[in-house]
Amino acid sequence: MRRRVYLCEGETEQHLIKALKENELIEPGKPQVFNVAQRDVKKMLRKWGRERFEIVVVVDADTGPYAASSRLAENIEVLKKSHMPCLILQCENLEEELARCCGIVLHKLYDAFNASSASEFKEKFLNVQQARLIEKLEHCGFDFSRMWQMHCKDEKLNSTLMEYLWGRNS
Amino acid sequence: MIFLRLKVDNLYMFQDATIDFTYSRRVKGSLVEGEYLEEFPQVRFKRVCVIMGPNAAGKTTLGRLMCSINNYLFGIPVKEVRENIYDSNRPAFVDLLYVVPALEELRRLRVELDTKGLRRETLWAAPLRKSKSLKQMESALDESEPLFEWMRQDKAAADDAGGLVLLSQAFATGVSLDRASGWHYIFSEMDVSSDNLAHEQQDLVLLEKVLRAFDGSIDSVRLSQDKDNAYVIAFHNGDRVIVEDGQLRPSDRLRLSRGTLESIEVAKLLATIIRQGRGSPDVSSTFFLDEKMAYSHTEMEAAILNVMIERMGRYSQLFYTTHNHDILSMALPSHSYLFMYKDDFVRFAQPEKMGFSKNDRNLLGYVRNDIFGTVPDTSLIDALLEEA
Repeated sequence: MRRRVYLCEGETEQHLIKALKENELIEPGKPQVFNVAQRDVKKMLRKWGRERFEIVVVVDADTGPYAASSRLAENIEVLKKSHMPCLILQCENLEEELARCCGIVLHKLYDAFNASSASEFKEKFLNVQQARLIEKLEHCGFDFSRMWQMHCKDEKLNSTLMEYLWGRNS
Repeated sequence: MIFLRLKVDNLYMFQDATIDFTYSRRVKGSLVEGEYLEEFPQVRFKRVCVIMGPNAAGKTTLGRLMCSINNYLFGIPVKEVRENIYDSNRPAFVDLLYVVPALEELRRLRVELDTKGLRRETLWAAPLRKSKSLKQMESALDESEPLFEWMRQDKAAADDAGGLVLLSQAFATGVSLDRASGWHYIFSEMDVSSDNLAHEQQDLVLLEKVLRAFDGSIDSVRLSQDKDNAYVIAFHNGDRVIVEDGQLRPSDRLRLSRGTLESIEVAKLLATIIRQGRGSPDVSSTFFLDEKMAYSHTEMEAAILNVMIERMGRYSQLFYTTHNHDILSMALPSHSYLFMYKDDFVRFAQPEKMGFSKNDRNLLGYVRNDIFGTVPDTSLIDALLEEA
């Protein structure tokens, strides 16, 4: 089995990736919090060793992947030399992405989690057991086939990143 | 006694937890031989159980619980269990399915306890049948009248000075749960162990082989001429350290590497395993080695584990906890691995129940991809790369 690491922007994305993996909606891999749009991925290379494995980078579309020279683009350049990077762009951020996949407006998603703000949503989201998270989202109409489909803004994407966009090469 | 299945609820961090120590299909060409009862081949049990999981996943706690069970079955009062009831408003229970080969009986023991102590104890027993599957025998066992049943009366609870310890009431009234089996548990804390096996003089020939493998500067291990119950580790350069009553002097501890120090205890267990395997191979014993080779080279760890598996008695079980992923590369059947992780409570993942039913060489790949939830989350450590 190919080794795979998911680099997530925050704990909520990590929680979601774990749940998606448990429900076999995505390929197995180790999710960890590492914001590739802000941090230097070179520092992780020592730890990862020389094995060329797949690194799936999950970032929000509102964190600047469209900038011509972003930290994200630099990191992807670094990763492509030693590993197999793959980029997942979320529609604005996780909450927006989930609401879009559920076909509901954001505040309806918040309501489903008894939350009234983004921070409260994150807290409540993390409190849902990993094994029950997808079931809870499905009650809101969650359709995984709609997840991470960012065609609308593709044309603005930096060419380096475009090459590694999730779904392009797989 | 051979562990076949263990259910635990509301004790430590175990909540409605079940571990199955049997396996459903024989693995062709398995390099762990004899994982069934010779006379009752449908009773298949795991002789080897490599337990892996992140830190604080409950591996040591599982060992402590199993150790308590061995003690309890033997009739030894068990301490420090009652205090570990998770929710004090409801009873906890341990439900054990086991077999004692010498008795040719399938047994089930259910022990309920609460903050006052033992609450209820029930023992079922049924003879093993060649023609029946384990599942059929278990069904028959569940439908049978208990061999022994005890329930605490309220008054007794008030008078129960014993509330501090758990003593089997079956044992107290002359019903033997298991007096035939042995056990030897070594825990990761230095010098913490429990066993009921005969202590013979340290096998110095074996110890010398193990210590010399760990430390090339060691020349020999010899019985001390000056002190009783002591031996001398001699180095090529003439240095000597004395181990008296199993203990090194504090000043001598620095002479040996941490890995070598730990290997002294590991060698003791290895000697017990070999002695049991050679002397009374049909006596079932439980061996539990808890991260005692954390300081050893990975090759050394695999080599020692390999010897333990090879030399232990036919009806013994070895439980071995480790963090070393290289152990996954050993040619053991997938059912020989048990993965533990913790979310709200301790969880178990048994690969053979998840579709990995043969000698799966890719088990390491699955583990690294965190299929079993056992890869620790290093995000907080990695954050220190850039943050203060």
